[in-house]
Amino acid sequence: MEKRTKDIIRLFVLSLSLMVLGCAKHPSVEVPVEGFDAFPSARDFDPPGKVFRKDADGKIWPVGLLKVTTQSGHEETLAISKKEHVSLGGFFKSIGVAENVLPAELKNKLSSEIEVELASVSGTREYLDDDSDVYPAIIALFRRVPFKKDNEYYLIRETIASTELTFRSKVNWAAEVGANAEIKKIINANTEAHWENENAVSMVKKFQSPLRIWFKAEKIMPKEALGIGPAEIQFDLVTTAGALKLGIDKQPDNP
Amino acid sequence: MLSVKLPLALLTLTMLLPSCCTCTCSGSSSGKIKKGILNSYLFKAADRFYPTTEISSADKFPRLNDKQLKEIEQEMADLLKTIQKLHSKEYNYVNKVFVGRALAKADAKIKITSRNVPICQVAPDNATIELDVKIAQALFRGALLDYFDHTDVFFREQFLKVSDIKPDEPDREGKIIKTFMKKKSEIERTATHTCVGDVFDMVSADRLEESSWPQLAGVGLSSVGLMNRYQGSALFMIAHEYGHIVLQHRERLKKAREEGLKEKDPIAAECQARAGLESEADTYAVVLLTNLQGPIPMEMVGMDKITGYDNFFRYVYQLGGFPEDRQQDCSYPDLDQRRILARSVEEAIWQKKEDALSMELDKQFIKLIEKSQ
Repeated sequence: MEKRTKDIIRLFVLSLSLMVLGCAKHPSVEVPVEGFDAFPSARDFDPPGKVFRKDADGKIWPVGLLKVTTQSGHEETLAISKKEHVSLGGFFKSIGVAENVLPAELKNKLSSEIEVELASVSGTREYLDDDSDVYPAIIALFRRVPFKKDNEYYLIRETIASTELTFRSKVNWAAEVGANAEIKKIINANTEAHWENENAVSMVKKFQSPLRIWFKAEKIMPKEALGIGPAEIQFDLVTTAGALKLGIDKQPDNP
Repeated sequence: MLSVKLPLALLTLTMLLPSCCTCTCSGSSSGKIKKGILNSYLFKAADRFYPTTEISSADKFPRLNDKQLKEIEQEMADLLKTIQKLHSKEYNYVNKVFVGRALAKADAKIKITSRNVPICQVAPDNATIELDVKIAQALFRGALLDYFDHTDVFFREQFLKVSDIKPDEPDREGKIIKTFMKKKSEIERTATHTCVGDVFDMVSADRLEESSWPQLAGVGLSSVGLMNRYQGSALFMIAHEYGHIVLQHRERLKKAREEGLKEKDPIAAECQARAGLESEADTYAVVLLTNLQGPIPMEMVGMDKITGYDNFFRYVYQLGGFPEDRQQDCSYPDLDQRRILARSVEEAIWQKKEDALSMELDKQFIKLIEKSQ
């Protein structure tokens, strides 16, 4: 083999190995999932386009659904976990424990808050991607429903659905009331939850078809602008993570 | 037979002519004119707002990319700069008209949104003029319709050949735009020549108007006329919004609202204040743009009016989708009333200018007589 040909082969092999090494060093792609909050329960309703309002007392009310086209796609790499503060009663409800089977010393603690970790892997993301659909649809909604000036309005902009949801919570509250063993028994007897060694309870909920677990909301922020022509309602959509606190134990009230 | 012989005779003549005299060919060639037309606002805006040949309706909202949004933003920012310069130049006069309420200078910028809603307003920061693509599209549609209806016989009857479309015909605008887009693609395919080539083209064509130069020259003139219509209404609109800023309308509205609380009906008091401010912003735009034209009205020298309010209120306002008249609790001033007010302000300014001009002429005349004596 000629020297020139050998040099070319060497150069090729060197380039290839450099490329392979370079590839191996690439960091894994992280899917940005910031700004999502959990729905009160996994659900097949409340898609992107749903509008809620918060009244002057902080109560959440559903307002209506925008007539818009939703985009969707499956994301295999998607993994979200989020810590939520919920009431103890809400937590028991979520894992399927009825209030009447709980020990009396725990019943008066049901309103106290505990930390729960929610996690889902792999999901179907649904979202509204085009402002030119969303803004006219909001104006059309407020033609049907009166806009209350003293309320805050929120739009569900994105949701993530999954076929599996994991709840996990440390059960130090059980020890606090001295009912560790009894609660362990209730959970094991009444739910699919699993009592872990480090005094934490976890449960994996599986659904036959994907249910919406996470949502990202935008605030419909009214504004006062002076313009050459009238506007039915003037507003901007502003991303405000965590502003719409539906919470896993706070169902929206009926209007 | 004659059609073959005549070009041949002319060709022979042009070959013989250089031997006894020199021929020069000056002016724009069809190639140069075509280039100008393809870069004109008329064609650029048509591509921007109607990117496909399938036009389902004239008001279909165009989904523009970032580059196109930036282009519109730049066009509007250039117009805003013109308004700001004019305001600085005419500040003393403007401030006198608005009884000392005008600021000498105010920062402002344009922000283009793509929300498919009628937005043309000053944002709460009192410096950003927000304008939606829907209104930018309405400016193009308004200029095209106004030009079609009122100005150019060539554009309507010879270029588009749609003189049979009646004013009350259903989907009239859609038909005009579809025809225009068809003709536009014909222009894009039109063969062009150099100056000398155009002469041969005109000579060899069976009918003069079928050769490319007269066609392109006609469309070139139409595109300039249409551009003037568009700029007139865009300038009026931006001047109106800038008027809100320099006449301190936000501050005055706040004050009026506070004072209105003492009134029996605070909402009615606020609405009245709002309507007054809108009329004042209209007046500001007319005052400023009338002074942009110099001592003689532009239509007197065969150009389109630059004040633009007529086109804006007749076409752009409705095409842009502004709702009937209500803004939450308040009614806007009546559209016809706004147009009448704008016209009366414009006429009053011209009357004053005319009086001043004739007074000056009288003075000069008297001086001349005195000198000659």
